[in-house]
Amino acid sequence: MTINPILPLLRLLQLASPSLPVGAYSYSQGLEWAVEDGLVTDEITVQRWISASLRQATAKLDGPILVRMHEGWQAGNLKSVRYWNDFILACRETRELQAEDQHLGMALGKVLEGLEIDWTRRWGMAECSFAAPYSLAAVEWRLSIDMMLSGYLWGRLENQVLTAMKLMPLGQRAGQRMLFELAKPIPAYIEKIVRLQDHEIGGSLPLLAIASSRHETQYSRLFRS
Amino acid sequence: MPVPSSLTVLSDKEQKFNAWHAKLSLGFENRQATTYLTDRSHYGPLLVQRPFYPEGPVCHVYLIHPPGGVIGGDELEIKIDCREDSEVLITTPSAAKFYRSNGKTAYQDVLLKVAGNAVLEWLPQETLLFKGAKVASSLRIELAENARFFGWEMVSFGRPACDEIFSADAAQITIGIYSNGKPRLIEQITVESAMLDSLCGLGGHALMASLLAYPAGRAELEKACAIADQYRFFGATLINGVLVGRMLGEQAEPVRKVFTLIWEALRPGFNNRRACKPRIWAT
Repeated sequence: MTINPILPLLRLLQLASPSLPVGAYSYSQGLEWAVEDGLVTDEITVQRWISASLRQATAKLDGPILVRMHEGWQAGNLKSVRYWNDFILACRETRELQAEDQHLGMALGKVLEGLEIDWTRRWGMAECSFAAPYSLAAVEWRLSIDMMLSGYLWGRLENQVLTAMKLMPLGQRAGQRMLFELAKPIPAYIEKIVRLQDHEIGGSLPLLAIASSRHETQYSRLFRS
Repeated sequence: MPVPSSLTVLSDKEQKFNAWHAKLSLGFENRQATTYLTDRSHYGPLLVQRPFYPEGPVCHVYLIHPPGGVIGGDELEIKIDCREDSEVLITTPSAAKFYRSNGKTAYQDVLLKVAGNAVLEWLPQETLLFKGAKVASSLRIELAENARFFGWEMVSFGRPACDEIFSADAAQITIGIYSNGKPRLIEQITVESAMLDSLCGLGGHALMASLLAYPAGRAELEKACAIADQYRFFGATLINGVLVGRMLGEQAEPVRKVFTLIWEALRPGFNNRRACKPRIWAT
């Protein structure tokens, strides 16, 4: 049986849309401190910041774990999904980044409940990373691994660019330019992600971790991370 | 002895002859309120000196790395087993050096096991990765529920004083803290040229350092921040009961000073003792 690809594509658009009510817009992932500190000052530096966090962290940690969770859900191997869930939460470098991931995960689980996926029955009440319900939605909605990764990486990218536009004087057109540029290498990241071995998984970024730690006590702030 | 009959056998032999496969395994026990080094086995050039007791019951141990440094193909394995109620402090007299690779990766695997009510302080000097080094370094800490641990790791890329900038293929540095087989904290960073320059990676710094303390809460976090927040590239946080402090710099010495101050501030609440600096640090 061939599957008509249009419905999965529409589901992907829904999953990757900023209208998904999980609250992703309230997290800056260290960027707010980096701007406050003067480490990130303009379109060029913010683009370097976002590009590094996508390539060196998201594509090395979230990406390969999403692949393993997708395979886990597909095979009915909940134990494997839980293993990678513990792993990714332990890799979140600060309390704030970990809390963000758990809030997003819980919120997405609740959203899925209303979209014909019985998240709570399948997962229970344990803390979860955003990747856990995301990968389940991908499996239930017949998204290929490549599509799932495209949606997830795009979501991260778009959120960081929107964050930057709130923190700095960047116009709408600059924002669109950045999205356009920073999306270019995503196909290459995905090619690498699907080939990563277990022992290669992990993408700590010292300066981002320091930025996020400092943000936890930043005096005045817009974002929760 | 049969004569080697193929090139493969020869190169295999050659490799065994050239590369270190060093192992050191230490076990500590508490006997009548003093901790003793009760088990020790070693193979190759990793050594341990006779323990010191500068503060009574706590067993201070100096690990000695292979004196000539480590090159590609070498494998170092260190296992430390702190049994119930033991109190152990481990340091090293000098930096661990990893030299330019011959194409092969050098491995360093450290496993620290801390049992119930035991305290381990892991305070090594920095690891120096020279230009062209290729290294996979793993530090795995397994903690029982009420174990206590304080440790740090400092990795220096190249020797900035000599203008020798690290430009290796890659160094993979992993730190993991586990309880009951579940990870509390995993840090894994692959450092290549792009990561050194990366704005959210090392940002052009030549040294990265992490400090870890367990168990820890708000009080410990605040003490660490009170000492180190004045440094622009220092940050501390709490993850699953672990205090994690991170710092970037150019050289190990200033960072070690900051971490030592934090250690001195936390130690009384941690094992009821004032900090007692290993004598070797003064030399």
